[in-house]
Formats: sequence, C-alpha cells, structure tokens
Amino acid sequence: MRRRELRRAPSSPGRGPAAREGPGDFTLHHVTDAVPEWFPHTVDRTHLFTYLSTCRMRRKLLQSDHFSWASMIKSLYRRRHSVPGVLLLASVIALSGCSDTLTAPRSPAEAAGEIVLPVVEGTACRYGGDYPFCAPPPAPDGTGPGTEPDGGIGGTSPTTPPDADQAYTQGPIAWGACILAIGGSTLSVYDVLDKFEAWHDAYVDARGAYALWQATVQNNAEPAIQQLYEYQYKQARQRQEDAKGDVSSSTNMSFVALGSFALTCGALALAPTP
Amino acid sequence: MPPTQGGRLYRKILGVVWVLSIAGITLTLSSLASALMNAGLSPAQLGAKVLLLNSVLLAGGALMSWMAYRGNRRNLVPPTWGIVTLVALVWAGLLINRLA
Repeated sequence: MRRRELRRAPSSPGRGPAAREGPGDFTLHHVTDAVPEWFPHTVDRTHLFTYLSTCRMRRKLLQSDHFSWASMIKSLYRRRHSVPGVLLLASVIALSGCSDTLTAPRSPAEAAGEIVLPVVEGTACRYGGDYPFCAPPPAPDGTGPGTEPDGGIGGTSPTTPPDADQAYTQGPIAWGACILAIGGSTLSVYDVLDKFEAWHDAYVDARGAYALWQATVQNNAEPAIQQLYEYQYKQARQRQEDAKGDVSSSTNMSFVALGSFALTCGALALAPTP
Repeated sequence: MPPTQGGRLYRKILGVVWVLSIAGITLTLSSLASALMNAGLSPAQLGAKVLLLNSVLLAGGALMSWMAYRGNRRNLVPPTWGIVTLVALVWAGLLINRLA
C-alpha cells in the first residue's frame, strides 16, 4: 500500500509547481553551496545549475552527505548516458569560463582603442603647505595638528611640527658654527672692501704713471727716460690688474661666506628641528 | 624640515643660495681658466695661493650647493657636519687670502 501511494504521488492531479518546491528540490543554492573552494571562480554557477537541473541523478547527488564533483563525474561515467554528460559538463564549465572572460567589463580605452595618456599627478595640498610636503590634516578634536605622512622625494622621514616647548636642539656645534659664519661673513666683506681700496690705489697710481710717461713723450725727453716712465706705467698697470683679480677672489669668497651664514644661521632661526 | 612658515621661508632662502652657489662655482672656474691662460696653460706656473684659494672656493661652493639643493628640493635640513665643514672652508679661504 505504501508502495502504491509512493508511486502515485508524482502523478497526483492536485500537485502544482508550488507543491514541487519541497525541501529536497534542487535550487541554485545547492550548486552554490556545493561548489568546492578550488573550483574556478570564472565558472558561472547559474550555468552549472541549468545543466544539473537536466541531470537525472541530482537527487542522489544532493542526498549524499559528501558531495564532490569528482564523485559526480564518476557517477555520470558509470551510468550509460554519462559520456556525453561528462563532455557536456566539461563544455559547460569551459563555456562559462570563456563567456565570463568575453563578457567581462572592459576599460573604455581598451574597448575604443584609444591612446592611454600618462597619469597626471595633482600638486595641490588639501591642508596647505608646499607640495609634496603638505601640511598635516587637523586633528578631529581640534586640539592640535596631526602627524604628516612620509611625502618626501627620496625618503623624507615623517616630521611633526614643533610646539612651543621644543627648543632648537641641533647642538651647540651649530650655534658655534653660526657665530663663526657671522664672523667669517663680516671679515669677507671687509676683505672685499680692502681689496677694492687696493685696486683703487693701484688705479690712481697707474693713471699718474701714465700722465708722467705722456709728459716725457710730449716734452721730447731722452728716450731712456721715456722708456723708464713707460716701464713704471706698465708696472702700475700690472698692479691694477692684480688688484682687480684680488677683488674678484675676495668677492667669490664673500659669496661662500654669506652662503654659509644663510645656511647655518637660517637653520637655527627659521627651521628649528627637534 | 618642519612644515612651519619659517621652514618654508628657509627653503626659499636655500633656493636662492643654491642658484648663487652655482653662479659662484661658474665664476670661480672662469677665473681659474683666466689665471691658467695668463700662466701659459701651465698649472705649475700658478701660485700656491691661487690654487689653494680656488680649491677652497670650489669645495665650499660644491658643498653649499649640495646642502641648499637638499633643503630646497628634498626638504632636508642641512647636516651639522656639512655646516661645520663649510664654515671651516670659509675661514681657511679667508686666512689664505690674508696671509699668503
């Protein structure tokens, strides 16, 4: 009796689509849950569900506690219709993977064959400062500035702005260097002034020697006297040229001295670092 | 380099120092070439004072240019050893200029 009822049950007239959706029916979730982790993610689970819906032994597969694709393929092969079934399953898997690849969204440049332009880097700072050393973002509670991320070219270490309690602590060596730089700069400027004065004296001497030589020429003095005054003029002229070279050297030295002053004392006064 | 107003001003000063140091190196090389031509292109004919002074000027200009470049373009404070070496070169040049 039970056997008859069981056999009649599928062909009962009152059974509609809603009645067929029992707990043992085959849904997409069965496929999704049953797919092992190693299975390729490019294979569409919907395609597998479509294939397995036509498979006669899906009930047996779902009833087994240890479902695996290897057991399914093995069962397909043992059943007679299984060779084309295995081939169909393989083709579904391959087609699903290919269709995912073909229908995957592509970049606009690749789709239209456009030229990809290089990336333009923005050079503006959101919270102020000079790019790429932007100012740190303000703290959420407004009590003080935050930390600045590493943004330097070539590995600048993260810096935090000094507060009022942080004195300049680059050491007394830097202070001594600053004082020496001030002294050197002053001395170099005086050196330039001295060399300029020496050049002016040599210039006046050369002009005087030239006037004397021209006077001997205009007064028709002895040729030996003319040559003597000419020699004196040339000597004075050479001293003037030497003084000019000394002024140039002293000026270059004063550039270096003033630059050292700006580097040393500027770091102390303008950029104190903890 | 601290991201303060003084730090930014110092970076600008370092930029000026960088340009001036390059100009100073160029002027030093030009004067050295002129002195060499006056000596008949023979370095042995140049005086020790000229050679020493130009060497000190070139070394100081190169060191200053390097430190100013680091500060202006890479936001790095000049190292203490560089500052001390630069000041020592300046004083050496002044003494050579005075004593020699």
